[in-house]
Amino acid sequence: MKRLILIGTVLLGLLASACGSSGSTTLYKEVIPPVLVDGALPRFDEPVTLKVMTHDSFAVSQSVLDEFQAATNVKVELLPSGDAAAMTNAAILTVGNPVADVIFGFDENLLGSVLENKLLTPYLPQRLDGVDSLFRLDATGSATPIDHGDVCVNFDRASFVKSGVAVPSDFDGLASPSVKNQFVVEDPSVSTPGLAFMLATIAQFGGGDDTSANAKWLTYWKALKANGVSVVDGWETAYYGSFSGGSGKGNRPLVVSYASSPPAEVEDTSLAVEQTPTGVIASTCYRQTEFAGILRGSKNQKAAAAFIEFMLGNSFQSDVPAQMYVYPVVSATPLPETFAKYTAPVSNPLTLPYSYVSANRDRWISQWSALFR
Amino acid sequence: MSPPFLSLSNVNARHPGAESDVLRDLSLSIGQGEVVGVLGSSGSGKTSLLRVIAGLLPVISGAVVLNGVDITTVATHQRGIGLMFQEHALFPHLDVADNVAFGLRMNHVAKVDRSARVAEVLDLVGLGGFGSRDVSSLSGGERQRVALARTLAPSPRLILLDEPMGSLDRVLRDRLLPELAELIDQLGLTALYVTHDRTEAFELADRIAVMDRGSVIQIATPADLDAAPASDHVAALLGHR
Amino acid sequence: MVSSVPLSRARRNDAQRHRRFRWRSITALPPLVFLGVFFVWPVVAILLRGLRPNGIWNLAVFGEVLADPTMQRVMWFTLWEAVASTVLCVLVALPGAAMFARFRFKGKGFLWSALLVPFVLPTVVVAVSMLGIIGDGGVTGVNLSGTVWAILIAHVFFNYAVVVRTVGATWSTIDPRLEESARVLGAPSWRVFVDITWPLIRSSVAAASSIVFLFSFTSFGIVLILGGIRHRTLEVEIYDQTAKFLHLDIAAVLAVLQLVIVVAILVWFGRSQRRRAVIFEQRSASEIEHPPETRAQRGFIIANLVFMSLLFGVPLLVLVVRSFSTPDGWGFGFYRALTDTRGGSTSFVPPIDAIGNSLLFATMATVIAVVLGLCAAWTIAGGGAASSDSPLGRWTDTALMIPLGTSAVTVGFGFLIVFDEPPLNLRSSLWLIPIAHAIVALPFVVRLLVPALRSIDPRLREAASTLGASPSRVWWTVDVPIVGRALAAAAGFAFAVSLGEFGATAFLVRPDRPTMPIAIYRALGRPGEYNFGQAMAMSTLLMVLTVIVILAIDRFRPAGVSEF
Repeated sequence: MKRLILIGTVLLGLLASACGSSGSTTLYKEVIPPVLVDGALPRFDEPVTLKVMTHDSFAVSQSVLDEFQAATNVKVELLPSGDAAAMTNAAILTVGNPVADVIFGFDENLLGSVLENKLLTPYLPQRLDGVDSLFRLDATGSATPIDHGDVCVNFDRASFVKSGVAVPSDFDGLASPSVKNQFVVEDPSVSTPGLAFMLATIAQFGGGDDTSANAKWLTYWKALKANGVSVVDGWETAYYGSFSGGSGKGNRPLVVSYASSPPAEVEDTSLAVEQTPTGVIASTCYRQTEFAGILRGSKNQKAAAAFIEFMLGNSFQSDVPAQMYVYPVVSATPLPETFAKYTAPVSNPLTLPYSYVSANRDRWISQWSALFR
Repeated sequence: MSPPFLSLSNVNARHPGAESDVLRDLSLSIGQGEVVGVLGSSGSGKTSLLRVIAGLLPVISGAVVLNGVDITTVATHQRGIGLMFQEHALFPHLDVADNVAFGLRMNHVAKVDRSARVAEVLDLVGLGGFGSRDVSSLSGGERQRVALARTLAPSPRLILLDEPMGSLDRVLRDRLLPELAELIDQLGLTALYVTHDRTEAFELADRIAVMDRGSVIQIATPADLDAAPASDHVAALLGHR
Repeated sequence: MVSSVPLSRARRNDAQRHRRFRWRSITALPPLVFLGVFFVWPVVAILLRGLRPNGIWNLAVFGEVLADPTMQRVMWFTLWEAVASTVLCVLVALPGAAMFARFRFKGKGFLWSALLVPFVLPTVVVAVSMLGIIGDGGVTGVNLSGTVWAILIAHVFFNYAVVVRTVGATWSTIDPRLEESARVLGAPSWRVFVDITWPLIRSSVAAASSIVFLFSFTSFGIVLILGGIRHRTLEVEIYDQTAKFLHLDIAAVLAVLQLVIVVAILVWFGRSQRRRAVIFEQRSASEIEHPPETRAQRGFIIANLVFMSLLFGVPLLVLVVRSFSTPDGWGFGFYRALTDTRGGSTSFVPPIDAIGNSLLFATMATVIAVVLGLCAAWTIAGGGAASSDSPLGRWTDTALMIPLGTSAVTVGFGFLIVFDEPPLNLRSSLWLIPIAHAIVALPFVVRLLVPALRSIDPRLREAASTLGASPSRVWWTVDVPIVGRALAAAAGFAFAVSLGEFGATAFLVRPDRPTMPIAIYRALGRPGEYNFGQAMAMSTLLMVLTVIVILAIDRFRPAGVSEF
């Protein structure tokens, strides 16, 4: 066993140096060996309880977890720990003596701090092959991509039909006088979609290295501000409190939400795609990938690795869209009917390298705050 | 005979929310300087009578006239009447002097005159030097005297005493009663004195009004009353067999 | 009708006093140990992690944070919005307290109980309702969202009941003859209030104010949702610095500041409360209340009721209406949807389970809070003479209030780093939830029990002692039966506090054991008409449950000694 770990470590070190990874180049002392036996999950003789730390929006069908338990004799216990940032920070605070065995749900914006703080024990899942290399951001293999979604501007179709104004088609359209006082966004300093949208503007307009108040992306925000953009604390307030479309109770027809929000507003599945109550402005979408990993100090490494493999398996992957309104990372996974019909996968989402984000995020937020506070 | 100082004519009154009137067609006249004892069993409306005169209980019909002026609808604080409760109702957050000075303060008496008057009234009730005492440190008898001093301080035109000895023990009462009688006499006060105790009424009052079910059923001097009670009920109240 | 007449002390000899003091110190132990383990320890640990990383003190960060203009603005805003909220709340709630204290009218008992509903409702639910009224495009056409007014109105909404019930309870025991005497002596109504009523209710106003201040000072959800992005409290800043950025040093400085201000305010309130406390003979409320007599009195009651229906009725009505307004028209669709399992999702909460969990945690929290609260109250009340007021009791009282003024994230993250080893490896234990709820409920329990214990005539205790009863027997045979009703009221209040608690629960909850507020947040965290509708339906159920519990408690409410 020890020898295996040693070999794994050496292999990993070689891998890391070979790739010249821009992220963490730290050599880990241990690595977990592959757990799949002929492609199948391992079965434990004694029952094991595996604790999985998640963000509050995590959801999975109970039947899927039952399937995992039936196959492996491992019972999964979920520990929701706040939003993704709070969960990650709670894990960092307890690094080495973790609350759980597995952590699920940190995105690329948090990936930098996860790796920097050596939160995870590396494990390279055998099932990673089915995952598009686009999502495999962590070369050390310790953070495994599980799902992805896109943060996009949503619009209230009825409102635009009524007013006769054309739905904005891009970022500039959101700052045009025809939609003055009609756009609501979330505060990037506290909200995950809010942060994603701010990053989208940086990816779109550039100027991320400019520390002045005149950075290009900030110029765009000045235009939004002049156009009466409303900034609220979080998604619930923006979507239910300010947005006028679908189940929203407010009066603004444009909101920062997700690419997968429109299907949730469809009650009648005979509706044509062009008739859904709300729609997405595709050019504003910013990619968010959610990762899972094995927390360093876990006493159940093998079971944890089995669960990571399971999350990349077909049952879990195909459960993800209906439960969390996100896309599976394994591209071959079939999508549920409403999901497939009402969400067009975003073809060219905006992205930023995670190391770039983690190096600059705090500064960007303070630049943004200086403009809005 | 001079016109009455205080007169109530055909007064009806009821407690808020009550089913029936507590005072029924009550009429009563009192001359200046007269002390009238009001005698009656509990529930006969004695206290309500005082509350109507003080303006604490509104009348439904009838009139209250004080010194020739109809005060039926005048607000309590503008009537210039003194009222002393059975429980004394001393202000717990004020010391003795401030309790006594309260009415003077409300009547905008200048500070210098106020302290002089407080000292004077406290001397009068035998509590000279008690000014800075906390009211919670007083004995029952002392409280009763402070309450009396507080009532007398603003020199009201009429004082209403609601069972002033009611909360005191027998011994104390026997000592204080003559003192009170002497004080009333000395100051020439016009007073209405509610009690259920015949001895008290007889010792203090010039005339005694006997109340039953919200009305005055007889009013006479103690001697006349004793000699000729108007009904069995009055006789019973007087302790006759 | 109980009087608190101080006992002549000469009768008690020194040995007896000494024994009583020791006994009192022992009863202070359980609540203080509890507080020490589950509050002080985690908080100190997380503060040290920030201020003394790697064993080296880093106090320079104090200077940096205090000199930062953004932080200065946050501190200043937090302080003044809390003061403004407290003053405003007291001003608008005093007439309400007067109405409950003095008048009898139809539906009074129900209203007195229902007042507590806003106090236990989750912030986000109320805030979204309020946005529908005074927000951008709200029904009133007045957009206050993002302004300080929205924050102040919401703080009044949540805290009105604290002032009305605390002050109203005291007010209703003031002998009306005091006010009548003042009127007879020539005082017009306003002077009666200023010179007589106010001095007598002042100490209960101080007690209520200190709680309103703490809640407003540590306001989180309201400030985020209604205050817009420019208004930030220390609480919000501490949350962000801890949970979002993991800047534990900055967070620690802010948390220390928060603690210092909270302790200073509590000591100040406590002092003014004691200095001005007037012991007076209490009357039973039923003896005093009466139906309105004059047109002015009827007008006063109507004005109060109109104000309450605007402040509470409208937002709560919006909430209830939304719970019945489904895409297919009016109906119970959202309530039925509560039982939809969403394909057996782990995020699904069967409503019965959520109600069951809420009731279970509330029961556990109540037991803990009442047992410890009784110990603490006995220490504070002096265990003996009504007027005795020991430093130990005073400090116990202040110490128990401090958690109300401390950030939930400070405690929550503190839990993570201290309870990580046996025997107290509680990080994922279900027990943390009732424990956290009990910490929040304790000050309320204590403040209900202390006046009841103080109202016990000390002569009864002395009688029992002279008959040979040990101190514990005196306590059991004299104090417990007498405070029984106050105890029932305290238990109910703790129960209600637990039902509505969200901040700490969110940190500690397990998915298979969600409470009702957690279920509401979960539904609200997803888009779609049915998710929103379910949140409204669950909120309505929580309201109904709260009213039932509070109505039941108020039946036990002791006349004359109850607060809150």
